[in-house]
Amino acid sequence: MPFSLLALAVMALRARPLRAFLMALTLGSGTAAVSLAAAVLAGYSQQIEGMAFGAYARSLVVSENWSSPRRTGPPTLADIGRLREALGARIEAVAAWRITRADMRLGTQAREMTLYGVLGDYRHEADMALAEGRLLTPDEVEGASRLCLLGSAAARELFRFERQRVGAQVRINGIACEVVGIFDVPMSRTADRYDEAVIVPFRAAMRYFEAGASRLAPNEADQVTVILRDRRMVRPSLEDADRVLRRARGSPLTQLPPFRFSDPSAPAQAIQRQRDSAAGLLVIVAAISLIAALVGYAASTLSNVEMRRRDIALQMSAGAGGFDILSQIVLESVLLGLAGAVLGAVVSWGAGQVLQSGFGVPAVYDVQVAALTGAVGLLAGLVAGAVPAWKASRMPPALAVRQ
Amino acid sequence: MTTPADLSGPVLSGRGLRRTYRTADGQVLALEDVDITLQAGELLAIVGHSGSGKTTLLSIMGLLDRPDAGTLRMFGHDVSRWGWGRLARLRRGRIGFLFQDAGLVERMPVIENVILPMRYARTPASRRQVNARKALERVGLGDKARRLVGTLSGGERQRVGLARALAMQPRLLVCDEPSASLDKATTGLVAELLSEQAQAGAGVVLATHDPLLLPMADRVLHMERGRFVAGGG
Repeated sequence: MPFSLLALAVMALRARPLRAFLMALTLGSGTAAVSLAAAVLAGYSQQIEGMAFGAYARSLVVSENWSSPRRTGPPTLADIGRLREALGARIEAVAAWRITRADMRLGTQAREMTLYGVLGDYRHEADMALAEGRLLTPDEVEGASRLCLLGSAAARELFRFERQRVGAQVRINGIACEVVGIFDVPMSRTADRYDEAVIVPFRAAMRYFEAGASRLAPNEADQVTVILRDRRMVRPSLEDADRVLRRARGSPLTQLPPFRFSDPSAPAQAIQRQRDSAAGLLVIVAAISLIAALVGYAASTLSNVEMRRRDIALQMSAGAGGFDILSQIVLESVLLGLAGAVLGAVVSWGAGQVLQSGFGVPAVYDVQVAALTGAVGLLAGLVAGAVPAWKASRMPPALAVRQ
Repeated sequence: MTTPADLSGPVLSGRGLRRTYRTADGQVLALEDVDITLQAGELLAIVGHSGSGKTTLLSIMGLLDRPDAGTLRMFGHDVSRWGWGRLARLRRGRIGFLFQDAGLVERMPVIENVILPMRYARTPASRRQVNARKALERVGLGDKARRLVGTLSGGERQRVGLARALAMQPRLLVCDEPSASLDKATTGLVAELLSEQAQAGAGVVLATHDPLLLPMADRVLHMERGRFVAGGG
């Protein structure tokens, strides 16, 4: 019987093709609104992902506050202990970084690049896949071995012709250093800075590679990155960290803090706020459009059922029960809903292109948006077709005899 | 589909059937205390003026309507209090209809109209096609199976209606003025096919005034103001 019902539903729709098309278009307009809203929200989400990737979105970066009148210097390794004590279980990982420019050489190739000396868990920030070789082990990071990791662009510039890159000796400010691994191209904006850079152990940077008289003491870092377990912990952790570090440096609350606390996810948050305000508006507009489409569609289906009273009664006289009629009308509605979803997807995609090229509003059409569009069309067909279908199933079959 | 109850007794018997309608002018009595019996193989004609209750009685006999009071037995079942769902299941494949205007679904191909009752009776797809083709051949419309109903003449439409009614080999055939707008030749064909059905064991009831159809009836009942006035049920 399901195939027969499907055949009857298709026949009924094909009997009035223009009407069926217009009804599908009505549902399609509502579906398009929902699809477009979802695509724009997905576009903003993708932008946010690009700006604050993974763990970096829940980190706190501590560095010297140059504008503070009482210059107490950059953060030290002892400050890491204080932060660990103050923030306790909120901390997932900590990394201390010494950052400087270095002259990099390999044979006749010479480039100036950023040198990162790292202590602790550096993988949260240098969140890139490895293209060749291996990573620095925790023991190597804690030690002072002359080993380094190169970013993808750095490796490309240094190794022009050499095939064997891992194991090669590069010179950092004139000191030989073995390349143990090369990163792949970064996929997020936060990892971009490691692309044309070299990463070495903290103590190796301090002992061998920083040129001339170092501006930092051996236990000092340019920045300390505290990765927290949850993004919502960033704000309260910032206050706790400020309090404990002020106390350590004897800096009263009436003065500017000795350290600058930056939240690297701040740009992402700005976009997120933009997305959230757009989301509210988009959801309301999409909901109104969908409701209008549903009401219009239900009204059309009702009038269609009224027009088909005799046909429905004739089907009943031929043996159709109320459930058969209900199923057929619902099926017709679902088919129109699916056709509406296809039309809606096309309209939404076109509108998305206009928004993107004309107004710079991101719109992403992925599997999720496609699935949502299909589901909305299907559900819209089901919901809007339910009442007319129920009414049709309650029609008196005696109408077949009474013309 | 056929239960033991189907095979014994008359096709249909009604006792004290009553039906009223509510209209804007109040209640209208369409049937009052009607007794009727239709045996298998019997061809029963009902005559009466417009508004005499013929159509209401045919609707009830075809299980398209329910009486307000009285008892109706169909194929051995007491269906007086049955819901619409059960009535539809009983109607399926057992009762064929031939309406005054043929009662075809417009904008549907001819063959699909003939197939329609077989779809609801869950007849296998291959048999549906064969039976429908045979029925159309029988009424001389084998070459118009794929045509849309809207493109047929009045006589052709009535013949399609006849093919639809006969394709299922129903046990009861309900006909409402089947020759009202037909020429003599087509009326003759209708009469011949209805007689064949009755001879094959089906109960046939028709409301008609057609002098070509009335002589072939086993019984003729006259209705007036919702009652039989002569002959009785």
